[in-house]
Amino acid sequence: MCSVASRGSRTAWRALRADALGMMGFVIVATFIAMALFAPWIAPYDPLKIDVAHKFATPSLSHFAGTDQLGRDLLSRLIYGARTALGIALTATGIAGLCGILLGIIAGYGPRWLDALLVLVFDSLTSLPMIMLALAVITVLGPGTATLIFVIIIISVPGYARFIRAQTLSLVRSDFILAERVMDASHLRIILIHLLPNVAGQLLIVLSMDIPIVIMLEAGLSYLSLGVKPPTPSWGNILYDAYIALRQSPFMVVVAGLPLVLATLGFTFLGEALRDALDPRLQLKVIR
Amino acid sequence: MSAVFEIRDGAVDLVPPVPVLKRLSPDPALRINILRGINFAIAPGEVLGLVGESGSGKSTLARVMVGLQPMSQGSLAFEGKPLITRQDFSAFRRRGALMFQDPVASLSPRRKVEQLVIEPFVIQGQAPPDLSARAAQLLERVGLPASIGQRYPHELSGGQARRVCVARALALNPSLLIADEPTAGLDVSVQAEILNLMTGLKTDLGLSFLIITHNLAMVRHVSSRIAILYLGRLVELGTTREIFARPAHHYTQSLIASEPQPDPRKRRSDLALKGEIPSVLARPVGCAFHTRCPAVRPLCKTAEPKLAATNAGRATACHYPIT
Repeated sequence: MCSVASRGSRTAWRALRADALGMMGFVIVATFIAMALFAPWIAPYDPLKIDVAHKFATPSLSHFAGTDQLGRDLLSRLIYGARTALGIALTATGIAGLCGILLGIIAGYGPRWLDALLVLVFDSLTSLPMIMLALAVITVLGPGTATLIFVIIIISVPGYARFIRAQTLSLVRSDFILAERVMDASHLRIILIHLLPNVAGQLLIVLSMDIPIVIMLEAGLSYLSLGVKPPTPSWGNILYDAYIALRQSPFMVVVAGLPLVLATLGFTFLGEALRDALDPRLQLKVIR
Repeated sequence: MSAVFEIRDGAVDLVPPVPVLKRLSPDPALRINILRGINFAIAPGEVLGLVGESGSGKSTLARVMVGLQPMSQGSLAFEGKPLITRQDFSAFRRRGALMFQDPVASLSPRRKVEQLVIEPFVIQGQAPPDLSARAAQLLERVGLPASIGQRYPHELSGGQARRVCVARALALNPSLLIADEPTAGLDVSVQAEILNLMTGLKTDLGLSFLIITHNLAMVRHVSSRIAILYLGRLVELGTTREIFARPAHHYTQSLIASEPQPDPRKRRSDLALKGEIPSVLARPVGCAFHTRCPAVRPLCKTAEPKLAATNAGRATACHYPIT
């Protein structure tokens, strides 16, 4: 990880700049992150302020994106929704990534019986249909933001752990790890100094590519009223409200769906561009 | 003088993984016999060359010696002390080093050369106060500029990586250095440089070497004694001069005969090895070499010859040695 970052941060940035789609993704993602961070200053209204007199307003100068069935300003709600979406996605993938690294290294480096046990657990979790697993956990714990993050972690950890485990298994038999063992390096030293930097960089790319999936999952579960609880603006909640009010204001669905589409595209473009930019093998191009 | 390293009766048998249900059946598990009856000792200051074809068990032997591969039977001793427990091997690892075949692959890819070179000190808890200076000192000893310390392994050439490995192996002033194919994958000119470096260090530091190789010319150049391995058995042991002058085992003779000669007319193609080394899974009964031996007789196909001492420091495992 450190070498990928230090060796190539400048070249990687240049490669990203040359990639038009990647740059577009970068701009979109940066915009959403800015929206999430500075929501209170950017949003023209309080996202929770009800103004029934002006419900279902179409876009105008006072409400750029119109209002919803309670007269709340849609633009403000979507801006605050970015905060919810990114907050949940980053927290959940971050924790899931850490758990994945921990469990993957334990499985790949530890004793065989522990590996067998962990793989059995990962396989059992991945064999359940994702949405069913999510519903079961939410039924037990009750809907809410914390549950949502927990569900996302449960769903994504097995994949990350298997990824890290596979990398670890191939590295454990490599000459440089054997050389460390011959020099009598402790297990902790081998894991922290020699294994971790070689597996973490790869996972970082996988994580960045997974963020749009998590954003969609959060929106999907919130749409089903299983995620973020209603008054809090979430892209999924807003979309659900828009769907209910489809007859009164067909315009609302379009506005509510737009940030979801943009964010997904932006993160996907950026993730793919990052993967290409950080992969040293892809950096050489034939001169024409 | 007592030996620096000694291996007595070493053997490695591996058992392939058996499915749970099959383990209940009474037939004995298939044992793959990788090494058997390995006996040799390395004297202080000696360079022992271990020669064998690919698949003869050379690298397994190196791993056995440093404790990466447990033995099925036999014993190891370093400077007279037996190596049995983890602590024994830990003590040995401070005084003995192993250099792997592929130098770049044996260096941790995300660490700088200077960090890699001083690793033995850090691991032993003797980190010097000024790491960069110590690293530069070690690199200088193997003829590398200190600026190499700032590079990553993938930025080194094969020869440089090999020198870095030598520097790291010598960091703790060991008494034994095991080098697995020290010249593999290097240009001929770089091979010579590395060999001269190693022999130079030997005289400076009073090291003992075990050089594992399939390159007879190299072994002839650097080693004082040679052990020849065929399919996991020692077939011949003796001083370099003796072995090259009067090979006693037919395998040794064939190996020497298959060496390239400056004058092609002098080459004995009738003795050159034919065919491939047999698989360890289908080890020939009797003498393992009988399938390729030019002087095979009926006894060779039934009885396995033992490694028997002939004269001064010389041993051969053959029913009908060349006299």
